[in-house]
This record gives sequence, C-alpha cells and structure tokens, in this order.
Amino acid sequence: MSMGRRIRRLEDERLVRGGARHVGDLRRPGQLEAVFVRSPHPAARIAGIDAARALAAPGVAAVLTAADLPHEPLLDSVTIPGLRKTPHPAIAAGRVRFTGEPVAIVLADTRAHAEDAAEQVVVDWRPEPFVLDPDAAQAPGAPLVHDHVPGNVLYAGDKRYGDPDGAFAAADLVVEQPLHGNRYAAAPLEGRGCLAEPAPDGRVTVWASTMGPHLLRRRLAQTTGLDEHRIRVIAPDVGGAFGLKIPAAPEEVAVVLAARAVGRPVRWVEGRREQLVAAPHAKDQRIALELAVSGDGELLAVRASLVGNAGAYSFNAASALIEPYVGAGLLPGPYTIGHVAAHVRSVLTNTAPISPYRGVGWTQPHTARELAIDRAARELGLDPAELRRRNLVRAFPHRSATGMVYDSGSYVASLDTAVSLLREADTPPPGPGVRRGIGVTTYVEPAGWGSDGALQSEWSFASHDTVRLQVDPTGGVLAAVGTPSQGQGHATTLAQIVAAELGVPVGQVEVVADDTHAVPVSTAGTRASRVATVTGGALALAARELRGRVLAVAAARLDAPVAALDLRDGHVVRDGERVLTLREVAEAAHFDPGLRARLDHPELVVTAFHDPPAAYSNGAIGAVVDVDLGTGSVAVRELAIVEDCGTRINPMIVDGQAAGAVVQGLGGALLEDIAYDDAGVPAGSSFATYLLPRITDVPEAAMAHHESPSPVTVNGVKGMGESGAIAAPAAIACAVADALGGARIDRLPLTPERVLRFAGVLA
Amino acid sequence: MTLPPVGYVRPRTLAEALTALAGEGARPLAGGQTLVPALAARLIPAPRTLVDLAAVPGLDVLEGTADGGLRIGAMVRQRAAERSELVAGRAPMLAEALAEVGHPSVRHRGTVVGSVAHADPAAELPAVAVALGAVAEVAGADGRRDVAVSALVAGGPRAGEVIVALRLPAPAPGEGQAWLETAPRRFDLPVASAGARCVPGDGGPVVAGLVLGGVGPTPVDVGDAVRRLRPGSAELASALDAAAARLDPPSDARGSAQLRRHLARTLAERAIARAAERTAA
Repeated sequence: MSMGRRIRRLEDERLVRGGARHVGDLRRPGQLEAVFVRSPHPAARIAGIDAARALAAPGVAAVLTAADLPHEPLLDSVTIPGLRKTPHPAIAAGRVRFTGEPVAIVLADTRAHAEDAAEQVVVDWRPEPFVLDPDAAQAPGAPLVHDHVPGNVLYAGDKRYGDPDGAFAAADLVVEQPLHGNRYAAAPLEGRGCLAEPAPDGRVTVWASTMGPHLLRRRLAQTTGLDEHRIRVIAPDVGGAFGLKIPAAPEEVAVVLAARAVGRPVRWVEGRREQLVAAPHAKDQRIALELAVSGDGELLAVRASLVGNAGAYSFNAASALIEPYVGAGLLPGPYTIGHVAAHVRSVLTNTAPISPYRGVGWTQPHTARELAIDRAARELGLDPAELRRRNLVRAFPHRSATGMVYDSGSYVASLDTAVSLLREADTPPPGPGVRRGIGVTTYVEPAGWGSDGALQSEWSFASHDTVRLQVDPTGGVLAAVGTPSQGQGHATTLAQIVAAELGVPVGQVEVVADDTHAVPVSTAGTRASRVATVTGGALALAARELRGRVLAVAAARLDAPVAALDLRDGHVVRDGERVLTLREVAEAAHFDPGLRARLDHPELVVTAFHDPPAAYSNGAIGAVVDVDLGTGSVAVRELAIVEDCGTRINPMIVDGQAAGAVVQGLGGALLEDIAYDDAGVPAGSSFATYLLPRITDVPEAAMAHHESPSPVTVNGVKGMGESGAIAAPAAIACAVADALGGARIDRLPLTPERVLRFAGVLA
Repeated sequence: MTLPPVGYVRPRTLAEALTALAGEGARPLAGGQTLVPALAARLIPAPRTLVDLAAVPGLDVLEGTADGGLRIGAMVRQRAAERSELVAGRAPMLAEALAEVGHPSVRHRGTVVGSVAHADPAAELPAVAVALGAVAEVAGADGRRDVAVSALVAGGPRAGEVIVALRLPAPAPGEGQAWLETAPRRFDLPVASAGARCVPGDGGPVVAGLVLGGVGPTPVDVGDAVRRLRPGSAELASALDAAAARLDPPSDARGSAQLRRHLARTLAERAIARAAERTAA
C-alpha cells in the first residue's frame, strides 16, 4: 500500500537540483519587465503624474497609469449581510490609501532600467490625513479611508450561541484577557509575480505565482471583461505562499492590462521590500476576551470582542472578515464551552490590506483564549493542563457551541502526550536572573473545508473540486487537479492516494495541477488545508471508478469475469498470478477496436466531483522557555508537537508541515511584526527589520502523532498543516507568562522590551 | 531591487585609489556588506564612483606588531580575523565579537576596517575598536595621519580619505576581555552591547575598561567611571548604576531608551564578570 508510507517526495530531486521554474525564470520573446511606482504616503491625492523623464530613460517602453488601463475594480466575493464593499483598482486613480499602493507601472527591457526609470516618474502628491489604528479610525472626525464607509467600519455584528449572559452571571470566576495581535507578513521565499503574454486575438496566457489558477482566472475575467476560457493561467513552480497567493494581486491585474495595452509579454517579479510594504499583511486583530469559569474548573462561556484591522481595502481574498469573523467561530476551541458571545468588527485603516496567512482568523483568538485558561488555572490553583483536561471534548461527534461538528479526535490523549514529551519542564534554569516557564495548548483545526466545513464557519465558499484521472496508452496514470503545490508535496501525496486506490506503483502516477487549460476547475484552489480531503477525496473516488473500468477491459480481453480479477502494483492479477500489465490493458483499450466494441466504457478517463463533509484535526503544542530578566530575551528550549490529522497519507510530509507551521508560530510569538511608524510606513520593510525566525532561534522539537480517522471523509483523511501557526504562539506566550509568575501578556510578539514590561522590570 | 547606475573602479595601487577617491562623489568599497544592500534598496543616494580597495596590494595583511599588538589592513575580511590565532591571542574581544557579526557568508566578504569606518553606533566592530584603544592609519591626498578610533567614530574618515589599517595595542599582562551583546535574534545588529577588560590587581581582577554600544551616537567609553573597581563589588554596582543613568540612548523601533539603558547595565556587569574570569590570577 502506498498510503501511510514515508516515501520521499517525487518532486524533490528536480527542486533540489535547481530544476524548478518560477516566474522569475521565464522568458518570452519580446518580454518587458514591469516595476511599479508606489505611494510613499499612507494617504494622498494624486494631482498629476509626469512620466516624461522616465519615458526618455534608457530601455523604457511605456509608463502606464490608471487612465491608460481601464478596468473593473477588484471586489471581495463574500456576501455576508452588512459587509460593505470597497472597490479596489489595480492601479490607484486620483487617490492612494496605503503606503505602497501602486500608481503607475513602468515597462522596460530590463528590471534595472525599469527601476531606474521608476525613480524618474514625478508624482504630484497631496498628502492627506491618515489613520493607522482601528480604534483611532472609529473616533469622530477620523479621516475616512473610503468616503462611502462612515466611521471606517466595514462590518459590525454580534454572534450569540447558547446563553452567555446567564453563564457569566453564574460563573465563580471571570478572567479578562485582552490581546493586541501582531500584523504578520506571510514572507514566502518567492514573492508574488506573474508574466502575461497577450495574443493578437485578445486571448492571454498568464504564468503566475498563485495558489489558485482558476481563482486568478476568474478575477482576471471580472476585471478585464474577457471570458474565463480565453484566459489561460499557468502556475509554474511556486516557492511558498501560506495564503498570500490565494487572492488575485492587483499587480497581477495591472500586468495583464499593461501587456494587452502594449501588445507584448510583460513580467513582474516582486521584490522583498515591495512585498513587505505593499503586499497584503495578515492577522492584526484587537481582542478583548472574557472567560467564565466555575469554581470546580468548568469552562462555562467565552465572550469576546474581535476587531480586525482591515487595512485600506476589503481584499479580494474573501474579505476583511477572514480574520475576526472566521476567528469567532473557533472561540470554543477543543473545549466543551457551551456559551459564546462574539462582537465582530472590521475597520478600515491606511495600512496594507489584510489577506489570508496560515491559521487564518484563528491564531489570535486561540492565543487570547489559551492565555485566559492559564490565568484561570492559576486563580483556581489548578495545573493548567488539568484544567484543560477537564474541559476537552471527549465524545464524538461533538457539536461545538458555534455549530462546528467535530467528527473525531484524540483531544485528551494529545494533551497528555505533549506534556509527557517536555523533558526540561522541571529542571532548573541555566543561571541567575533566568526564569523557566512551561506552556501547553490544545487545539482543534478546521481541516478540510469543503463547502460544509465553510458553512460550519458561517462562511459561504465554493470549496468543491473536480478531478480527472486517466490511464494513458502506455499504462501511465495522469491525475489532473486544480490545486497546485507551493511546496506541500502534492505530486507525492496525491500520487500516493491514486496509487493505493488504483493498484499501481506511486511512480506510475503523474500529477498535473498547473494549467487552467489542462485541468478541471477548482474554484477554491490550494488553501484552507483542503487539498488532502477535497482533491484527495475526489481522486480516490475517481481511482475507484477507473479501477473498475481497467478491470472491465481486462475481463473482456481475458474472457474472464471481472470479479475474478484484481489490479495490484500495476498488474491485473487472477488467482494470485499476474496475467496482464496495466500497459497491456491500456493498449487494448486504446487500440483494439474489437475489444472496444464490447465495452460500455472503453475510455480509461474518469472525472469525479467531491465536496466532502467538514472534518477537524486536533493536537497539542507544548513549549519550555527560559526568560532572561536581564535582557528580556526568550529562549525556547523545547517544543513538543502532537498532531492528529486522522489517516496520514505520507507521515514524513505531515511531520514537515507540522514543524514548518510551528516555526512560523514561533516567529509570531517572539519576532514578527510589521509595525507602522508614525509616518504610516511599515517599519518591518526588510528582513533586517521584519524578523523571521532563523534556525538558531528554533529548538529541537519532539513530535508525536495520534491517528483518529475521520468517519466522514474518504479514507479517514483530514487536512492539516496550520496547527502550529494557530497554536504555537499560545504555547510560547503561556510559557513566558508562566516564567513571569503569571504575568498578564496582552501583546505579541514578545520582544525583549515587552517581556521586561510584562515582568515589571521596566516601568 | 537592483543597483542604481554607479561607477566602479578597481585601482591597483594606493596612490591610484587616493586619486580616484579625490574625485567628486567617490566612495571607498571595502567588502560592501552594508553599502551595497543599502544602494540596491535605493535607500541612500548613489555615489558617482565606488572605489574598490580589493586589488590594492598589502591592504589584506593582518600582522602582529613588535610591541605585541596587531595591525589589521583595510581589506582583511572579518572571517579571516575571526579565524586568526593572532587575533585570538592579542585581541580576544575582537574574536569574540566577530563571531556575532552577521553570518559566515557576510563575514567572508565584510572587512573589519570597513565596519569601523562605517561607524554604526550599534555595530560590534566600532565599539570593540574603541574598547581596545585602536588607532586608525588614515591616508588621503594630504598624506597620512594616525587617529584614535574613539575620535574617528564621531565623524568618520573625511571625504577622500581611507583607513589603510587599524593598529591595536597589546593587551596588558594577564588581561581578560569579554564581549556581550543582545538582540531579538542572534547575529543581528545588537540593540545594546558591552566590551569589558579586566587586569590582575592586588587580590584579584580589577576593571580596566568598559565600552557600551547601541546607547549613544557613538560607542560610549565609560571606563573612567569603573576603572580599578572590583568585579562583583558594591562600588562597581553603584558606579554602573550611575554610568547607566548618565547614558542618553536613542529610542527607535528596535528599542526604547529605557530598554537600552537596562540592557547596557545588564551587559556591562555580565561582561565585566566574564572578563574577570579570564583574567590571570
């Protein structure tokens, strides 16, 4: 069986040998390089743009502004009542709303010439008042980011489940936990970028660093007016995305428009500074959470105000509600908390828009809840792990207070495993002035959003997949899916599913996912940990049907009953003996007219549609930290990662996903923050100031797995890969709070300055 | 981002280099690990000409001096100095600090002297040079002059001048040295730092020097406040408190003045303790 095996990733030899082809590696005849002129102001009117000097600079082919590139603006696609829309132009016209917003696109023969010329474009800026903070943005008289959005409030609404007021009135203990969550950058190794090649008849081919080729195609169709089938989107190798590349970039729309305007291929490769300043940021919720607890340690209710800093536009990723609105649904987490009240609000500011990033919506509410649970445990004199243990969901299926149906899991066992993996929790710290702390957090992760999973988050989201699976004339198996990999290893895991279901070696399966002209539509693309269950489930179903067809061909060829045949390891087997190769079957199906005439379905091509029920992964993350009160430094000594994602397709890839997410969570806990300065410019504008964790910041992690197969998905598979980004910040923050004797932590990341303030060392 | 248009020359002699540097808008290039990224990000105005010192003979020499000190040429790479037994023996604080500068690929290109000339008040090497009493041999169209690094860091070399080499005096007999720094991530530019020297005294080590980085417009030499005091003593503690209180550190995105003062106080005490451990009995 190929399922459940730690096989090496089929794509890695090509990738590590330098065989990858990213947008930056592509070259088409007559190609021009694009560089954007961007706003240095967080808010300004554009009184004029003078491109004369830039146009005269060496190598320059064109300088285009909004007036040259008419198009329909991008719009978010969410239909939640009360959510205001903010039309988002690909190139700003007349007014900019955040630092980095593009106002012109310079096309030149080389990148260097385009950058030189971009500096020569003279924009007559008329700076205007701006607002960066969501609280300030709601104050009377605050500058309006969009004139039609009063008070800058995109959305305000309340969700109530059960009887939260009654539960709070009955509580013996109420813990308040505010949290000012940090603003992250997804910071993939490869930035955004695309290459658009127009054809004389109006068609266009777009190579893009994207997670969703069909989604990008749809946005390009909406903005350009072209029909979707005249737009071909190809995702070449993509070097990481983490959610950033789900939405269409306004720059991608601009590049397509520019290429059509000049009739030449145009490429844009995002630079790092450009990405950190102008690409969408992530998370940035302001949370005020209260937890109601009984005297004997029952978590009764949670009440929270979740305010999302939307940035300057409700981004086409989904909308600005992806953070606070989605976050509210997971407030009960893995606990049997029966009553929930959430006030959800999304507020415009003159900052880069918010789009998805690993653990979308969930990270910061999870962190606030877990900090509150640790403080409740301290108040009650209970071990925090014991308080969690008393409240974890134990019986399945479990319907959470907010309506999520947890299908299966190992919530208590995962917690116990994480606690047992931490070896240094009780050993002394390395020196005077250093305090040791421990934090263990349990999580549940919506893992496999079909449309049902989306609905359980009260989110409308077409999250089905169609796949095509075929046996080619030489017996090779081609799996065509609309969910390309950005590093997740789909070429391996999806092949493992097909190989197991069909009965062929993994190496005989080729996964194609990169071209809207070659693969069936996936409206959602790769995101939300959905590929394992939605794409993988569809492939399993397709493989089962295709297997039947292969055996039918073989039966006809052998004059044997189908029931007597099996397909194993690429061979048709009868009575334990190999009687035909898959290649022989395929050749017969394609080239033997007599045989074809005897079959209802001689074609060895199957499509399958799949939109599975919701499934939920779970686990626990533990951290042991040393906090140096002399320097405010936090050293993470140990991490324990316990993951339960049901049936594992490839445990090695599961391990890698879990570890990678935890490292990003560690970054969020200790280092990563975009932090705008007083002039409205992101302070974290390079990797010298936006601090990603390096290997020297990451300890060895102990990893363990439980396996609770989902009763509702094909093969019991659940999605995974976001848990560390959701829960590691909480584990580390809880550990630091513990080291500081229960100090109240209300802001991340835990910089030395903040640690020393939380510790009371600095006033 | 790509480099803006900028001229580049690679002179073969010091005289040629000085002639090139006398031209308008010329800047010396000695490793380029700070200058080139800043230019590529277009954060600073592009010089008209970069004068690369890499091919000037003799500038890459690291040698011991007759008095037991060191002479470090302008093109000695940080990695070479870090690995040098001479540096380990004669300027252990420099070796200890070099291991914290950037990462190995940066240190293979970056030069000790280039970093001192750049004189970032938070960087390791200018502070170490001040702490060790380094003297810069400066060459220009008007000839050569020696300038103490403690004076140089306030203004840097003048336009048209280059630091040809740094001279470090010999450590005192039995001297112990230590360098400590802190930043949210290791190997980053420190938020604050301390370089301490101790020498044998009657009945144990005494403080011989202390320089703090990241707490002022230049490395701050507070040696006068603590010299001859005993590590671990109440006198030293109150002297350090007073010295920290007199600091006027900057406040920026990397840390408030209050934080930097606290860090400097912590690191000073710890560096002195470590230097004392390394001092001959």
